[in-house]
Amino acid sequence: MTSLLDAEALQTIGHLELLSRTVVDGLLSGKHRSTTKGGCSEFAQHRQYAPGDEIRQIDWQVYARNDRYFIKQFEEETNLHAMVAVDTSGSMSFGMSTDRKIDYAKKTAACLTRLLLRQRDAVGLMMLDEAHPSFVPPRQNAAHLRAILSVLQSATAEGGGDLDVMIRHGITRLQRRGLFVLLSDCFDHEDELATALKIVRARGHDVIVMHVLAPEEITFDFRRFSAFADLEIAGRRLHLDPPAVRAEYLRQIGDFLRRIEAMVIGLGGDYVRLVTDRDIGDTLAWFLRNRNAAISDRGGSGGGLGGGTR
Amino acid sequence: MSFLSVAFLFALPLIAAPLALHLFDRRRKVEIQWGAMAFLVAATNQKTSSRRFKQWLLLLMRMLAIAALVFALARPLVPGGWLGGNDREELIVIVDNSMSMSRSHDGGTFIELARDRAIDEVAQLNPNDRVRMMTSAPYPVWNQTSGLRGGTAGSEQIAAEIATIDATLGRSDLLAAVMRASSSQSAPLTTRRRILVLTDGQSGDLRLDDTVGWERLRNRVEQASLPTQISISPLTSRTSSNPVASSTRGNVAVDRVSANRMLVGVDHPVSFTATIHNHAAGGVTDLSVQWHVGDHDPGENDASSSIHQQTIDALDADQTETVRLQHAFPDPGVYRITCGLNADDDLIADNRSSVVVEVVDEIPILIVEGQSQLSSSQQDSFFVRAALGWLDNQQPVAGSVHVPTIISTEDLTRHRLDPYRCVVIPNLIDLEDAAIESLRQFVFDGGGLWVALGPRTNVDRFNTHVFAGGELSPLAVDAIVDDIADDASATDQAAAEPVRIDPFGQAHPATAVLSDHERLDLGDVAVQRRFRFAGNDHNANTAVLLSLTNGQALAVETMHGRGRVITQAIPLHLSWSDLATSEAFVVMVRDWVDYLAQPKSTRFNLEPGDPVVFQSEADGPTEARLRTPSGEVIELTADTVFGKAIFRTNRTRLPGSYEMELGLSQGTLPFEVARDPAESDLSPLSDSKWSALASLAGLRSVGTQQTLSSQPQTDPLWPWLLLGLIALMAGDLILSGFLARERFGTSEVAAVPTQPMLSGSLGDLPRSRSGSRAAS
Repeated sequence: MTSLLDAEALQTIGHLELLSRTVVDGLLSGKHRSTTKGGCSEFAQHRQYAPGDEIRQIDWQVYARNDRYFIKQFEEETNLHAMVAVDTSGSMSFGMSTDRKIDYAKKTAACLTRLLLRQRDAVGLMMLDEAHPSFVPPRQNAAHLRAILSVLQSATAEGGGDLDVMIRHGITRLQRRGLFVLLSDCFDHEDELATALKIVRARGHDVIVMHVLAPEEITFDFRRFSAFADLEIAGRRLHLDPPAVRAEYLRQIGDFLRRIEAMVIGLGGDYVRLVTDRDIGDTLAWFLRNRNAAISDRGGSGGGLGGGTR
Repeated sequence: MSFLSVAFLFALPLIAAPLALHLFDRRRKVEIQWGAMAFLVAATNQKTSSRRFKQWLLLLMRMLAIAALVFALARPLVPGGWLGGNDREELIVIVDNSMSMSRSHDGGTFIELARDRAIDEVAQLNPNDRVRMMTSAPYPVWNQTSGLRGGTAGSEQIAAEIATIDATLGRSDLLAAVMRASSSQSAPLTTRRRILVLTDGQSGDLRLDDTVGWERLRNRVEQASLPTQISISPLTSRTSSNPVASSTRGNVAVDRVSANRMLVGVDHPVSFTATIHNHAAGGVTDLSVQWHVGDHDPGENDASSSIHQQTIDALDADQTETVRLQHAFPDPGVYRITCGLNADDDLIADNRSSVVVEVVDEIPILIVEGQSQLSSSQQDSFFVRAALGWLDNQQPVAGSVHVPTIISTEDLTRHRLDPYRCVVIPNLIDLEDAAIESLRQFVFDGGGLWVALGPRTNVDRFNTHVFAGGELSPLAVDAIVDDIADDASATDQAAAEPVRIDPFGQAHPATAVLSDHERLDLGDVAVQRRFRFAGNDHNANTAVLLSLTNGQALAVETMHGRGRVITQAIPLHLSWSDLATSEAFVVMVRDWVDYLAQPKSTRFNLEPGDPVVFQSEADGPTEARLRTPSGEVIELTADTVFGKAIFRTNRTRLPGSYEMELGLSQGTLPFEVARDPAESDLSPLSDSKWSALASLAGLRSVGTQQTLSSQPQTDPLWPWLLLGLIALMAGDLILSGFLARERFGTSEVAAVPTQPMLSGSLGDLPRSRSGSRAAS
């Protein structure tokens, strides 16, 4: 079970944090901005004093400058409810020179879970399997890691299914706004997938699409006449001379990747391409550093490990 | 269509090799479980249809290339003109100008028919075609060095060339002519060659016995780079389309005239023999034979100018009759004696034949006497001199052409031998080395040597110096054998009979008269003792003139250089045998001396191709003209060798009478080149022989006539196939390159980025974990 936890990857990303780009609903105080304004610690705004307000909340320095009473309001820092969704369609079982995509996705999900739990965030798991859907609600305790890893371990990639339907069905079970991480090759209907992700985004979730691809799928460096068997539709085969169609194939998949990326970014989410011949730790570290930097730049507070909303 | 190497067609199944390899390669495909199938389907729909067409086109081109190669190796031939294009033909007309072509038929001669036919053939040629003429008798000879243009452009010149062709007295070798024509260099840009043989179909000219030669011709024609067609067509008469079957009036010919000696003395009778042969299928009667001396018009075999006339009462079919003439010439000179025949037959040219004899005042002879110190009657040369009519060095009253000079053995070294025609050694004793060397040179230059071995002959020295490996004697001698003693020891009385000379032992020109045992007593000559020749290893130049009744050789002959040497195992006097006292001895001495003297004489009777060599005195003319039977005049210039002028030429290929004019006042010298009597046989080829010839030469009958022709004109197809092969290979390369460019592209396909740049991100992209490994 612990084989899913790549020690080297965990060491690489151990000092990093996965922060929410948007505000989330958390029960505990933590590193993420809360939807509840209170006097906890993070200054939010000034409000004109009204009768009934606590006198100690008056900002006396403002009164000294303006001769008016203003109440000093603070944002509450709370913990994150993150949901990791893993696509288990048949196409995710592809893997030739590297690990299968499903295995790569599982490892990535395990590392993210471990990372989030370490920063005391609640993590849930959603296996997007049409035949055997699994849903692990977000929990924050350390023992929850074992439950998630168990589900990941037992998951297999087979069959087809509509990815968008499964996403829309699973997202309704999230009560609080949080972080939605999709690990998939996205080989589904683009429009329906975009709709599903829009719904997720509309419900206030921060969206991260981790696009899992095998190197063969983006290089298509086959030389010999071959028969390509569909992993999702049994008995479907295509006999062809790979070099003859390589250029056209690369053009098609290149366009597809660009469209997916544009769609995710257009939703306000983050898009990261996970190629299975690359080290998980390096890729996640690269992603987390860039994401944190982006959040820091947008928040103007200098970024750092805590993000820009504190 | 035909093929020269049909065996290569067995490789035709190789055409399927590209298809089989293609299918086999497809069967070896690997199966890949693939996820991104939607993009693959989309890409395939864009590319497959056009690419599949190109692939099948490439496959087809490769199959066609193999087919072209296989067919090219099989060397196919297609009917002439099938491929079109510029067709330039070379026509070679071989005219049989042998003697038989001069026979008359239907108001003309066959050589006239051949000329007319040649003109007709040339008239049918195109202006671009070339024509060459060749005559075949007695050897194939081109009438001009280069081809003439066909059509009207060269018609006049060709007609003039054809008009010069006339029948000769020679015999044709049509096989050699066709062989030479087929192997000759053709004119540039010639595409095919046609060889037309115009002949009377006489069986002898076609040399059917030379099967190897005809097969070689067949192979040469089949493998010729230039397509060659051979047509052998017997000439037809003007009024009939059928070849002339045979002579209609028959043909009686004087096959040959010969003389018993070519060098005779003045007033000495010489015997001439003419062989008359009836070549016709039926008999003839009342043939008149006339003998003429000197120049004589061949058309006039009249009796008025003849020196002798004879009559042959009847001559059956294929019968040979000989007539003889004995004649003595009163003055020295060179005479042509002609035997003519008055016969109304098809071929007039062979109704006469000639021979040339040289009449001289004297024939100088050198006799080497080993016992000159003895009286004349005791000398070894006594009987030889007596046989020649010279006794006591006095010229006989009746005159003798043989003039002997007698020297001692010791003087032989110092004596010049050049003036003599023959050297006789009646009883050989030891000769000095210088003398032997002088004799060897004398014989090499054409002199004759007659060596008789006797009691004083040193066997070892003879074998070492005279025999010397066969130079001056064909055989070494072993020892003296006593035939009487051997026989006496036998108990059988019959075996004790003395050994005698066998008069019928050998047929040799020198013993032709000696063999007349009815008039001569050569068979009565007993030999008591003799030298025995060692071994029987006669070489090719060895001939036995006389042999004994026990089979042993008594006189043998060899050739050394131009001269002749006779070695005799008994001396020319009374020792060991009674030959010297026989009547035949006189005839033998004179005949053999004449025989030995001949090589040093000018050869006036020649075979075709033999050189004319005439030697005149130093103060004689240095220019001469030789007139050939065809009327051609050959200018000759003498080579001066050791003070003597020698005229020499090899241009004697035509049989017939030649005349050499020496200066203005020297008169003319006749030369006679013999013709082949077989040419008088006018019988044509039978149907079976035509079939045999067709089989030998790979020819086939054309039409109903007895015409043979090689395969119809064909053009080689393989150059075009090779060109097609080159084009297909070029197309294959181009299409393969095109497909390869489609498969792999001319530049690197823009790779899909493995990681997009997040907005605002500045970090480095993570590196590949294991590099890019090829999927398969």
